[in-house]
Amino acid sequence: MSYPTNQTMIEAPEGSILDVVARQWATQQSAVVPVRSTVRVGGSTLIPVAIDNGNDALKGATLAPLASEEEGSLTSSLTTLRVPTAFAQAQAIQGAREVSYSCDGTSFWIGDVALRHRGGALRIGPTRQRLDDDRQRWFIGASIVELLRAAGYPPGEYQIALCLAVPNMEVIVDQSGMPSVKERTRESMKRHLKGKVWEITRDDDSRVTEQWIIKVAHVLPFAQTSGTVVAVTRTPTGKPALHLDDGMVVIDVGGGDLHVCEVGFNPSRMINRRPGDGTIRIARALRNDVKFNGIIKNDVEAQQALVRRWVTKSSRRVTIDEDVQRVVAASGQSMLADVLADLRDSNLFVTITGGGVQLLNGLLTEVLAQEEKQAGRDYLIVDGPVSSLLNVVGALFALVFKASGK
Amino acid sequence: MAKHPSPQDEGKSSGARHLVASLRLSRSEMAQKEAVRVLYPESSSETDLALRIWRRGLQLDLARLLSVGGVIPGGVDEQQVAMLVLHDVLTCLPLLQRTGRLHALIALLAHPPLAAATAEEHEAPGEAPEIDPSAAGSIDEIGGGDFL
Repeated sequence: MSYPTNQTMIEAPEGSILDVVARQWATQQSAVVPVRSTVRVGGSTLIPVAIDNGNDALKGATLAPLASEEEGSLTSSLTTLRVPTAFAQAQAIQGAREVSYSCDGTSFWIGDVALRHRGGALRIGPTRQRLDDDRQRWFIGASIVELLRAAGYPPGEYQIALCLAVPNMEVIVDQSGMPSVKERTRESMKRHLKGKVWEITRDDDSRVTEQWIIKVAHVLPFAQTSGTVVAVTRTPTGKPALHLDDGMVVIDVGGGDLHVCEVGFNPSRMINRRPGDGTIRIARALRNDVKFNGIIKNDVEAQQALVRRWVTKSSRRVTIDEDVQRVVAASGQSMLADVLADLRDSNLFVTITGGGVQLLNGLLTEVLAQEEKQAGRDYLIVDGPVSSLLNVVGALFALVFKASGK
Repeated sequence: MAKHPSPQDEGKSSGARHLVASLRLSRSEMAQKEAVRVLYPESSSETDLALRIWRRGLQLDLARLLSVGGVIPGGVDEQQVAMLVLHDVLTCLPLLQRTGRLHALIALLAHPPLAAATAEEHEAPGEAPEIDPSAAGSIDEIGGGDFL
């Protein structure tokens, strides 16, 4: 199964990427999209991969030929992945082994496995600071391996075109008047990702060692929140799905940040604000609860506890539904107030998305029902698992569209 | 060569697994088999029951294959397979309704996924799907630069 479960139907613009993907997931199907599974950039045929390296989790998306069809067929399956941003040095284990990776002579665990072994959270902050960290680059490489595996690619050597979603704050208006990523970010991506070759060995309990070589032929920087704009306004083949004259406001309730991004179409512009923290403010309330002393040890564990609604205590899985409801009700109100203020103030169509929407949804829908603005006409709430993956799915299609113009 | 179980062997415990008609079943699969036995009152033995359950799965797979335009061996009537599946769907309606899947199914029938995108946008079989010419430029306008 290569799709998230529990997706609900969304009243998205008909035929939009969001509509096509969410509808298939909601009916328990893998997402199939009418584009080739490869892109052509600079004369090379590459696998498109998009990464949204969020504070709480890395989200990834890629395309693969349908199992029943040849490479280069007209339709592809869309695969997504979410890996908590946790990292730990792998240790020798007697008995059933965890999934571990080895790169540049270092063995390590990532994601859920790292969390189970008291792994630490990876560095957060600007792209440059993150990519300077070896662990972060190994983490990204191993996550791409997992993404390709999930998409059905066998171990081997692959050349990819990588779209990296960068924080909105790293986007500026350049001399031509177009939004563009900051020079420092661009330089960091060139230094650490362009031409990068990950040689990764993957081991798991099957005792079959897999060798993966991932070569990054080209990198496309892309503003994080713009992925949502692409997914809501375009069809998978790039046709307009939603006609907006002026632009769109995206309220992105992410793990680390609550972002408000106004994307203007005519003239082209991007205005970013950060009204406050994202779901981390709720996660920290949970972490600071005396009840979870010594159980939730860092922010990533706290974010995971919020999403999963259970923690491990004395080797037992303990459900914390009531605790989550309590902290969301208490700490979620301030986040809700931020969201509402931006929704009310905007004259533009507003899309509310991000992993935090799932957490807030009960509160959000209840409060928005009292507003004058109408769902569908004035705003769109993206709920369910697709909310945390929308930016990366949009970024993947941005890469496909961009490559088509080469 | 694998040893076929004698009728006496059938259903005997082998660790956590059980052999039924040469099928190695887990404890939970054994329990599920016992639960569905009521649907096959005509089965005369464990092997016969296993065969009937297997045939049912085969019919469903044929229907799946026909649904996606696959070719099936001669002698199988498409109408018959459709009727069998229709019967299954009707039988399962209460479950689909209780779990909310019926609503999703109706929505799917009203707006088939990809219908808008594929039927309209695939111009001819074998041709590459065209990416709309406006799409690449739109990426530049919303924070996408050039490939590094």
